[in-house]
Amino acid sequence: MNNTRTRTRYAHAATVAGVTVALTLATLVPLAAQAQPSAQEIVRRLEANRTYETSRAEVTMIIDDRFGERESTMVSYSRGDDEALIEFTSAAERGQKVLRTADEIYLYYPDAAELVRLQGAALRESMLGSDVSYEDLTGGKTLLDTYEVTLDGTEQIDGHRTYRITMEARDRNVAYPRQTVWVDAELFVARRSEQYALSGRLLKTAVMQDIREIDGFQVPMRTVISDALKRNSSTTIRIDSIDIGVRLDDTLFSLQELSW
Amino acid sequence: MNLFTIAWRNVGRNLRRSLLSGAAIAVATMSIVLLFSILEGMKTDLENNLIDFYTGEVQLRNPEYGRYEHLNPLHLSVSDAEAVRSRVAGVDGVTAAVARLSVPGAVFRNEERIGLQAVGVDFDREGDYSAIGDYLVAGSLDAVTGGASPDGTSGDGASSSGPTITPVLVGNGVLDRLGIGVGDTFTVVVRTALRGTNAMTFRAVAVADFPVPTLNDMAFWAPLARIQHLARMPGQAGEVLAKLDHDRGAPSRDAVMSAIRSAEPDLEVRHFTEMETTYSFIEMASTAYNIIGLFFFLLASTVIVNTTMMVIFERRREIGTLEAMGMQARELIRMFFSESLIIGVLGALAGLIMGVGVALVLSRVGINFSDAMQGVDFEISPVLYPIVNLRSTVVVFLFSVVVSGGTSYIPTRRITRIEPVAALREE
Repeated sequence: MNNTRTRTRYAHAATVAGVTVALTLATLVPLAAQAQPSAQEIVRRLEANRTYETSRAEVTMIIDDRFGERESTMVSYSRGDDEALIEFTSAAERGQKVLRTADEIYLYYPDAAELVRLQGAALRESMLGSDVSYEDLTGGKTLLDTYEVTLDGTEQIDGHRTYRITMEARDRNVAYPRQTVWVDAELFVARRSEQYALSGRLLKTAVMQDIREIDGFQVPMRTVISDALKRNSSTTIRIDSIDIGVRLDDTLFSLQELSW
Repeated sequence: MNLFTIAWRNVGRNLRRSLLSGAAIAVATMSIVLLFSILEGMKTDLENNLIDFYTGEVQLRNPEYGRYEHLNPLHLSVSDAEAVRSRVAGVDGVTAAVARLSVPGAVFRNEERIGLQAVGVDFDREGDYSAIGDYLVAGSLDAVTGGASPDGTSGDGASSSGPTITPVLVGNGVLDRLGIGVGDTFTVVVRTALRGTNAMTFRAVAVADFPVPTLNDMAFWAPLARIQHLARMPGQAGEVLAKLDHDRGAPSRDAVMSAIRSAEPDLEVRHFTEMETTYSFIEMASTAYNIIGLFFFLLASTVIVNTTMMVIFERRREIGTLEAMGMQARELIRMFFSESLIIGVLGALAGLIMGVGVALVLSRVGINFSDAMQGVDFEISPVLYPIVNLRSTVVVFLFSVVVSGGTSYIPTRRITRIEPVAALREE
C-alpha cells in the first residue's frame, strides 16, 4: 500500500483534474534568485507551490481519441495533500465520484450497491477512458522522498526559461521510475513533464498551459496529457473555475459521504 | 477360369504376405476415418458453440464495428435492437433471432482485476435460441427473470432509494474466480458506449456449465435492459443473431441472407462461415488433413508396391510359363493388378469397419481434451464426440482403394520387361 501511495505527486499536477488543481497550485514565489538554486531547492519550491489547505474547482476533461472528442465535467474538492473528491457532473457520468483518502481510492457509482476500492495494479485503470490513470491520483510521500533529483540545466519552453530536472525513483514500485520536469525558473511551476518506464520508454507527456495567478497561487488552467502508449489520443484538463482556501465540510472526504 | 478368379486364388497363396499388405492399408484407412470423425465432431461442436454463444448463424451488427473491434467500440451498435430482431425473425427461413449486448468489464478484488464479460440477453427468447436453460447446474432462469419490472430491472435486493441489485446467471468458473457462492453479489465496472465508465452490482442466482471453458470463466448473463442501462445503451444491442431453417424445402441460405440484407440494409450481415473464427481455421485444417490423409495412404501403399514387386520377382518362372503358353502381357498385368486391388479393397474395408467402430464408441464416451486445452481460448468444448460422416467415410474408402490400386499398378508394368525364355531358364 505504501508503494501505491508512493506515487509521484508531480504527475498529479500533470494529469488529474481536480487533484491537479490541488497539487499544482503554486505559492506566489518571488522572481528567481540571482544564483541558480540546487535541484532539491527547485523541487522543494515546486512542491511548496502546490501545497494548500483546501480548494474547490470546476473542471472539464476533454478526451480526444480516434472516435472524436468528448467532454466530462466535474467538481473537484481537495484538502491538504492526501484528500480529494471528484464528483462528475456531465450527463454520462452524473453522480459518479472518486474519493482519494490518505491510503486508498474509492469509486462510487450510483448504479452499484457497493463502493469499488482500487488498489495495486487496479490503479493503472484509465479514468473515464482518458489518458489519466487512477494511479496518477494517488498521494503519498513528497517528490524528494520518492526521487533522486538532478538539475540538468536550463531550457526554454514556450518562451519561458525553465530548469530541467531529472527524477530517478529511489524505489522501483512507483508509477513512473523516471521523470523529467521542466520547472519555470521564475514561477516555480511545471511547464512540461515526461514520465518514463524503467526501460526508458516514454509513457506520458504533460504540457501545462495558461498559467494564471489565482489567490496567490500559480495555476496551470489547462494541462494536455498524452499517453505515449495510446495512439491518436490526448486528454485536456481545463480548470473552468477555482476557489482556494474554501471552507469544506469535515465529512466530505469520508466513505460515509459516498453512501446512498 | 477368368483372371479375377486366378488373382483371388493367388492372394491366398501367400496369405501372411497378403495380410501384411492389407493390414497397412487397413491401419491407414482406420486412422483417416477416425481422424475425419474427430474433425467432424470438432467442426460440429464448434459450429454449435459459435451459433449458440458467439457469432450466431447469421450475425447483424454495425458495419463499422469490425474495423474497431479491438477497441471494443460499444457506441458502434445496433439501434432499436428489438425492432431489428423482430424484422429478422420474420424473414422466411429464419427460425429464431435474438439481440445481445456483450460488455467487457472488471471486478476489483483486493489488488486483483478480474475480467468478466457481461452479456445482456432476453432470457425468454434465448430459450428458443441457445437453450440456455439446458446448461443450468444451479438455480433457475425464473430466479434471473423473476420479479422483473417492465423496464427489465429487478426488485431483488433493491430498496426504494438504493441501487438495484440485478440477478444474473453466471458461468460456473466465474464463481471460483470471484471467490463467491450462489446468492452472493459482485460489482462490475465497465466502459460505457459514451466512453465513460459505469458500475453495477449483480447477484449470482443461477449457474450454468457452458460447453466452452472461456464462457464458464468469463461470462455472466443478465437481462438485456440492465446491461443496456449499465453501458448507457438504451434500446441498443451489440448484435442481432439469427438461426436458419435447414429443413428440406426451406429457402436456400443465399436466399435467406439476401432477404435479411434487404430487410436491414444499414447493418453488416454475415454468415458465420464468412467470419474469421476458429471455424475457418478448422476448415483450413480440414484441407491440411486431406493432404495428410493422402500421404498416409501413399505410405501404406508402399507396402503393396513392395509386396507386388516381390511377388513379381518370385514368380518370374510362372510369368515366363504363362507367357510361353500364350498369355498376353496386358492380361498378366491385369492379373497382378487385380491381386493388389483385392488386397487394397479388403484392407480398406477392414480399416473402414474398424475406424467406424472405434469412432462410434468414442462418439458415445467422448474424448476428453481438458488438459490439452488448458489455457487455450478456442470455442471448442473440452470433451469432443467424434461424428461418423457417411459421405467422408465413403470418400476415404474409395480414396484408399484408388491410391493402393494406383500405386500397385506401377510395379506390375515390370512384367512386360520379363523375357519368357530367360525367365524359364531361371532356377
